[in-house]
Amino acid sequence: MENFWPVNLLSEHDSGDADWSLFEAQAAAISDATRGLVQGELRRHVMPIGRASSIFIWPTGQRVKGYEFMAIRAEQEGFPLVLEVYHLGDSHRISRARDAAELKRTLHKIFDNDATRRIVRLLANEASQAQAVRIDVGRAEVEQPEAEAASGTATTTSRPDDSASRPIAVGGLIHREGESYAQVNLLGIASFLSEQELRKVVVKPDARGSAVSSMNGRFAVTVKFMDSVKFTLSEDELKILKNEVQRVLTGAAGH
Amino acid sequence: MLSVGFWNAKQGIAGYPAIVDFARDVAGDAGLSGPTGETLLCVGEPGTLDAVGLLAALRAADPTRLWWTHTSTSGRFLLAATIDQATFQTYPEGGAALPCLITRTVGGNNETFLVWFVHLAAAVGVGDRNIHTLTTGLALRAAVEATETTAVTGKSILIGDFNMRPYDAGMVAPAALHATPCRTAARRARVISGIARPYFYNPCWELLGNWEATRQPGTFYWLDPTDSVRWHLIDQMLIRPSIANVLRGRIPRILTKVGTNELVTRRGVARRDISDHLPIVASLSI
Repeated sequence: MENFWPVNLLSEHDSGDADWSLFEAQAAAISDATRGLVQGELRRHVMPIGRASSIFIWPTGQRVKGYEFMAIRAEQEGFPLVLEVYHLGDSHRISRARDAAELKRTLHKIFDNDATRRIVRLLANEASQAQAVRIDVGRAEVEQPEAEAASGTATTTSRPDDSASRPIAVGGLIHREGESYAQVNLLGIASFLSEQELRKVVVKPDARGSAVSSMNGRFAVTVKFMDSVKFTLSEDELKILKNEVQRVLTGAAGH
Repeated sequence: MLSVGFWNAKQGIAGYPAIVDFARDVAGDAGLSGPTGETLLCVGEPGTLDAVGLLAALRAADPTRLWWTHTSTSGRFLLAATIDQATFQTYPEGGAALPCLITRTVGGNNETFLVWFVHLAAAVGVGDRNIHTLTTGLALRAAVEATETTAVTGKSILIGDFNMRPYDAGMVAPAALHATPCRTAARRARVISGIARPYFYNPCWELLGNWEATRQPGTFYWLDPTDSVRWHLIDQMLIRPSIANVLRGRIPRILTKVGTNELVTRRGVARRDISDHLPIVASLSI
């Protein structure tokens, strides 16, 4: 059965846990091990005391679907470490590593586990099904807009940077009071779309009745939300928005 | 009206019948789930119990309701629900919890809520208890904030096995869950050293106190030689203060009986042959 994790890192890596770089390396290497279908990274929590980080993995191109694969905790610098691997079942979920050798043995067990393979396969399948990833021999690439690809401005590697990935989620079709609609989250804008509008989205781009039109190698989507929309802003973005609105309201726009 | 509930099933040792009794009792209680029996329940530590088996058992025992079931990606959370499945979506598990985005009609408007099913690691064999609860609480808070941002809703309701009591460090520390027993105090974020620290409201504080045959002050029975408490209130519910008013009856309910099975002995000890935890359920006006 395939091994999704670079076992050689476990034997070659000599830095112990000093900077938890072993975990970083393991997380980053999941891309190569899955032909680019799954990405991973170590995310650190800022702690008042103690140390904590988690390895997240996600289908390529869908960073917002990051699944918390493993949490790593320590009371202080160095060992012991506590590893919590959520999918391993309650009897094997938590491991304690008192030194580097024990850590490597523990990681071997975690990675060489059918439940681990199941999770990775699940995310890899999701990446494949979304067709946002192009599988080549031995590697995969995130699909690039044609214009970007032609200009050579975008890099395509086996470990694509999909940090710009934005949420796209569509809930089930709700039937209520004679209406059919779904909750949607389109690039961080949350609202509801009627079934009629949803159907327009899946019509071939530029075809009659399609909500999607091609534009400069990308696509413009025109949909009418049923209800008010919600989105989040940073503090700075809110300042800009308020400034723009006030400029308009005071009649300064266009002058 | 909607009920949400959680039960740590201790590796599912009592099998499907106990879970079915739990689900049927909650859905059938109009005071919790309304006249149509709308409920969203989670089983933690399901062991070998799975969504297919639970669905078959539910349909056989309660054929009049449209039950559906779901297992989370990690396999740690087994859901059983009667709400319209189209109004339900999961977001990725994080912070040892499963976020479920649900759409409810409130005052004629569609509104989205995040119901989080939580199962944090116990502070057993992990060194310092305080540091452990702080790290797990902080990671959960980080996950909640990240998912609220992604899902564009700040209406989070957390329920489950926190493996912390209401007064433990990870539950009350501002950097961790910062959960307060006071709804009034929770209304406005506190600024500490220039950083705004929003609260969670923890209605479970009001459950603490005396054990009596008709009053259950905790969900997990454990005699710890270093601690005075016998019934530990580690299965709890937290709610964002802005929606604290949707909690009906002020406090969640701890169940001591499912079906015909008492979950607590006459001496006031958990029936460990069914589970070492008691279920917790809340009724929401959404």
